[in-house]
Amino acid sequence: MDKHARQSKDALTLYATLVWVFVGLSVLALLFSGTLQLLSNIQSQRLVISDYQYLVAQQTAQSVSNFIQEKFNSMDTAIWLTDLALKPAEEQKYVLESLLGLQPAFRQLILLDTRNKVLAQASRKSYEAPDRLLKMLPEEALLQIQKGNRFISQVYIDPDTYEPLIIMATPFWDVFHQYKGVILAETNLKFMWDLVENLRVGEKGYAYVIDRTGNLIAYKDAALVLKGKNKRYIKTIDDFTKAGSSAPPQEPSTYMGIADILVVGNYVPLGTPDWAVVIEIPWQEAYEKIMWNAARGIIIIIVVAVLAALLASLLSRRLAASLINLENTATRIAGGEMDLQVVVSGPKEVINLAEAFNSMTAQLREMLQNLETKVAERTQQLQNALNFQKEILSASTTGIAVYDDTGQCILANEALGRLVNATNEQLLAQNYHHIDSWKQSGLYQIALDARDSLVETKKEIFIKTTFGKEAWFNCRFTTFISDGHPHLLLTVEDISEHKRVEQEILNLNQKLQAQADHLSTANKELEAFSYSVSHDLRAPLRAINGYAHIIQEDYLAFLDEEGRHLFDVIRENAQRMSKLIDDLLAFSRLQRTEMLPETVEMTELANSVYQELTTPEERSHIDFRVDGLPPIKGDPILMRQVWHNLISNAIKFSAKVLRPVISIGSQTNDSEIIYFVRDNGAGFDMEYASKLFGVFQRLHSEKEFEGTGVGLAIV
Amino acid sequence: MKNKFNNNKAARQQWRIIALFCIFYLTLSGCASPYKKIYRVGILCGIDSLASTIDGFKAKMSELGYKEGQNILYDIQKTNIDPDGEKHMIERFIGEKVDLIFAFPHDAAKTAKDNTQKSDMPVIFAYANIDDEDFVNSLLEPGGNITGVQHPLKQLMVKRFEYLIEIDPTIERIWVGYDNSQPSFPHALEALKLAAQAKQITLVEVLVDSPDTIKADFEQREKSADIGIDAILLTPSPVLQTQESWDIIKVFAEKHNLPVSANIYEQIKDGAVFHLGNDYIDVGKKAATLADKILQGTPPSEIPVLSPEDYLRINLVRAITLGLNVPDGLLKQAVEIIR
Repeated sequence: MDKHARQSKDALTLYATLVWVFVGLSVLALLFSGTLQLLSNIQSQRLVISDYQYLVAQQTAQSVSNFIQEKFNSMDTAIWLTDLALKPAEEQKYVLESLLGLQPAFRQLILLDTRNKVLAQASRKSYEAPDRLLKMLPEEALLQIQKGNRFISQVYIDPDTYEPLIIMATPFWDVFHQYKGVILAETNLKFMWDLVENLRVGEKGYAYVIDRTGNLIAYKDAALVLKGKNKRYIKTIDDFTKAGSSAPPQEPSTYMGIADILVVGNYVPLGTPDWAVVIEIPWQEAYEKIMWNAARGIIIIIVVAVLAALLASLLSRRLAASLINLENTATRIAGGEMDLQVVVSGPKEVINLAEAFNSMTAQLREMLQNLETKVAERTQQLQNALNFQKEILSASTTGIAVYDDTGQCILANEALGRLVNATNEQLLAQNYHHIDSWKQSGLYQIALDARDSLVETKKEIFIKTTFGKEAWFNCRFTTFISDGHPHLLLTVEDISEHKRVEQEILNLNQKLQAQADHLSTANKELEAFSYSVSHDLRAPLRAINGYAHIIQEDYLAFLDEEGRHLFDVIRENAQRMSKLIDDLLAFSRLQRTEMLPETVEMTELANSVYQELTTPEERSHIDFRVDGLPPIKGDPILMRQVWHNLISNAIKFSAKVLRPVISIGSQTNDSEIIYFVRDNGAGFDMEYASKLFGVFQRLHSEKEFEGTGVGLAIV
Repeated sequence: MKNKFNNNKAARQQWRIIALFCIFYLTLSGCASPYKKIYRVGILCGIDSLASTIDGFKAKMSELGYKEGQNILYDIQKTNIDPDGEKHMIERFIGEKVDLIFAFPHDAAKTAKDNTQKSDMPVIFAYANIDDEDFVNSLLEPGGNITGVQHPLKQLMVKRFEYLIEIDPTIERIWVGYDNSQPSFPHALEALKLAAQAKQITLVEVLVDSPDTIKADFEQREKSADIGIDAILLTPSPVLQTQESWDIIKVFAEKHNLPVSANIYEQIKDGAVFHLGNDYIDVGKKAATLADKILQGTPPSEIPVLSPEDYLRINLVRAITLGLNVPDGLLKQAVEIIR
């Protein structure tokens, strides 16, 4: 299902849309007006609560102040009415005991003189030394009292009962207004608890008293007071501890109250003592009326929404009927009933819409017919193209197969079937992931590499196919993307014949190389033999020649003419033989000389050799011509030897003509330079040209031209 | 077919709208449950003379919103110094799985504490002497399943002694009956001895375990010309709180013109010179505030133990009969004077 279809399915009907719009608008309007009303009510209620809390807090603060003031008043009254300063100790004690009876909150009373000496003491507890109380009074407090001021200590906790206590002190004077002493009263603040507990703040509201450090002094839950934990974590208490004594009245705040419920709370400082009364009203109670109004508003919204829904249902049914008819007809046309016409009644806009729709369907029908004709033509063209491609595949001598991304063969031509001895059905049934012959031959890995790397890969491989054929194949894998999926194209050629010929050539090359190696070995042996023979023959020959020379020099007189002639013959032959051996050694040495190639200027070299071989007289009657010879890469020493032998040969064999002509030139072919030496001398029979460069080969008798027959062999 | 589909779709959407409204209405309308829990409280009064404590308890509970028969039921049992009976009643409360046990005085509370250790049933005590006993961990955090209103024995005994010698400064020997039922008694007696020593007063200590013991002691004294005591100071021993014991003491005191420091409130009207002790109604009310916190879910172990005030009551008629001149200072401190 495409995105458009999903949207169509999720879309609301016209009927439902109209209902929702009606209901939504109604609810929105009511919510808007209701919210405004609610905010206004909350603001008003906040003011009411603020006033009410402030009033109650002030009353409570007054009561608490009165509680303290009453204690001071009691002490003052006792002082002035009884003229305490002038009374004996017994009567002073009586006054204190009377005060104990009068004020249950007094736990202990102590009368001190001007030097802080105890004059009298009365206590509800068993006898206790007054030191404890005196130690709790700071020195500045006593100074303050002596100046005529009252004093109230910080709240402290009784270690036996954990009840909160304070010390109240008031000074007294004689009739001359002389300071005479002080009454200390240890006062139990739990007697203030009832005062606070009995206070009614709304239905479930309550009040409590805290000191400046945030300690709880009086609260309806005595246990919480006794625990004595600091309560500064409560917002209002924290505000009080941070505020100055003359801080203005605060606005009520909403926070978690001391009873761990959400409250609206505020505080009022007492002034003296430095405590505050906190009033907390449960949030639910404070805003109960508003909550009821809000609930009533919600009910009204619901009722209005229901009514709006019903009204919207009726209206939308009427409005939507003709459109639904149009939709039904459109649905049927979409289902294939193309000849249908829409017939609707209703608002003019809907009738116009229906006419436009009918016109549109007529155009659609015509377009559809044209489209069908074009589709048929295109289908035929496509079929022809497909057939053409199939014929190409069939005609190809190269085996072709295509595998999809799962490895399944989806196309194979006939040539491939012939190459591997398989039918087309057998090939199409193959998946290359499961062809054993591919895996055994390594073809499978090549296919995977080609698929993964997207690079064309080819391989000549000998394989026994699944269908029994053994041959050399040239396999080529190419990866291409079709319809978003990678495909593998395999082309196969049988190269078994090519491989066979290649093998034969390889075999012949190997044989040739063996023969060349053999020949090279024989040549080396022959060279070694020649050198050895030539070298070894020189010594006896030099002896023969030497002895013959000695005989000629020393015993010539003893020889007749014939003997001298014979010795001449011996010497000539020995010298010839010596020359022959020298040439042979030079030839042999040449074979072993290592070549050191460099650029050789051939014209210069040829002229130099000619100058070296001839005298000026000889050069005067020899016509020696050298054309511009191209330089060559070669060993200059060996090249000089070549020119030496060739030019000397030309001089020698043209010596008997009247005007010798020796010309040196060159011919350049594609890959070589041919240098030549031409003369107009004796020449030779071309039948023996192949022997001309053999060792000891002579084409003229020695009588005609002296020489050993080695010179051109050296060339 | 398509038309039918559209009609069904419209109908479904109509039902969705109706269902949405219903859910909205139910959400708004229905949260209040008519069910209210009815609490059951077992009250064990170990001494009949302290029974008015129950009145104070119930009155305060009523103030706190617990209406008897509506949301709270009381099972009140009075055993009047019967340890076995106290144990039996506590076991019964445990068996009936009451929500709370309120037991007093000390012995009944101790029995309740000991027997509810396994059940963790909350216990509130009153008139318990917890000075030197392993009764609670501390006043602030009692621990376990118990809290209540204490009765500081040592302080009370010494103060009664002080008042007694202030009313009759001629006293040299004071009869002090006591028993060993509570571990704190020896400590209280020790404090009393120190106070007496400071005033050079002799304490005549008599171990009493029954009214007969008292009777036997008095009979023995009457055999001598000097009965050996000038006043009687009663301690909160259970034996001394029975009417039978009081009758014996009252007769002996009247016969020999002895001032008596009363042990319980009723004795002040019946011949004792003065009484220093708690207001039973007030103690009951204090216990009720604790009960309220427990029933609202606060563990007893976290609720501090409360301390009641001691009130002085003087029978001036009896004092005058005995020829005693009660100091005006004391009379000023008394909350009640019988004239």
